[in-house]
Amino acid sequence: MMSAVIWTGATSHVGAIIKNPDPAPERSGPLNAAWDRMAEQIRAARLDAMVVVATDHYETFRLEHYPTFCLGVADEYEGWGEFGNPTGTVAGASELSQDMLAGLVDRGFDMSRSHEMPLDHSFMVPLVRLGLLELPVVPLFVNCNTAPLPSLRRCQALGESIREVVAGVPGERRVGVLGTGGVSHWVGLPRFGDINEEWDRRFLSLLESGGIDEILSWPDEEILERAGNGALEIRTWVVAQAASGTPAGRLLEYQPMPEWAIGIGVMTMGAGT
Amino acid sequence: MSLLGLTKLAWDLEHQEGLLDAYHAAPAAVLARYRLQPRHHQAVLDFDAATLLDDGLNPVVLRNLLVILGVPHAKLYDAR
Repeated sequence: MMSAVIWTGATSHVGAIIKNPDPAPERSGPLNAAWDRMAEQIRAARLDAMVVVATDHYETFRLEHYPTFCLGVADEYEGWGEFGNPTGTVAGASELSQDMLAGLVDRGFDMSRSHEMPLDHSFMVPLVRLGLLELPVVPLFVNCNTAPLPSLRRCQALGESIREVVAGVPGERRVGVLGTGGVSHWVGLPRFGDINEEWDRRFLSLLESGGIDEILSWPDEEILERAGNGALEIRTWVVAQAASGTPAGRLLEYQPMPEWAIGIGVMTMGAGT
Repeated sequence: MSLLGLTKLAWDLEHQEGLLDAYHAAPAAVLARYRLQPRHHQAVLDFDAATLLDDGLNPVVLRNLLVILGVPHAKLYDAR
């Protein structure tokens, strides 16, 4: 048996998921049930490590050096705990990180690396909510908020390469890939608090039904206008989808959450469905 | 260069122990440590999100900066 990507999924990552977990039980209740189901799926997959594909909100990366992609290669990671978000120490899967770094560079991804990459809420909230603090992680930063962003097609290619690279890792490593971010929300903009439920449902429906090519055709300007700067984080979902090896997914839940100022999606993909 | 200075300011206020207190005690003195254009120096003093956004400050940084200074995220553009 070879190493392989065994499980793939994606979820929104807003801090309120932890800080204010049940503000509207008729909507937050189904979301919490979906995260519980996702956590159970991940436990059942008996993973050795989880690649967490997320972004950063100017906590770890700033204008002094802002990478497009950056892979954590450390033995452990600290959570920032910024603005009341979860903190703590997360174990790294450094050997897997190094194998992935070498493999991705070999496939043409000029990947930055970090031996000290504190994690903000885009990593920590899903890790805490899904009960993954004991599972070694490989954090993968994707620039989702500081133009120019990597194209959606480039993110798809990155996901495909992750799947190939993991398959070549020595041993029989069972690896998960979790994308985090989106869906519609506006951060630091006058439209903060808006949610575009129609856009969210279209995006999730396309991802579920193998319509990724339409998503890849969306210009960032259109995403920004219709779904906010926070929706540019769908890059992480595209990476996860491609890493699954299957152009389909299963939506576990979607709810517009005005109490959290965001539309929330929870989806498993490929082998995870 | 002012955008870099604003970004450094936001991070430092959030993470450098004592800096936020120093800012509240003497904001102009803290701002003088950063390379800011006069209009951006004044925009921070005025909590002027619209000017900072119009001049190109990343909205995530803008959010971090003004929230750490006490402006709720939902009120960023009402505060001036």
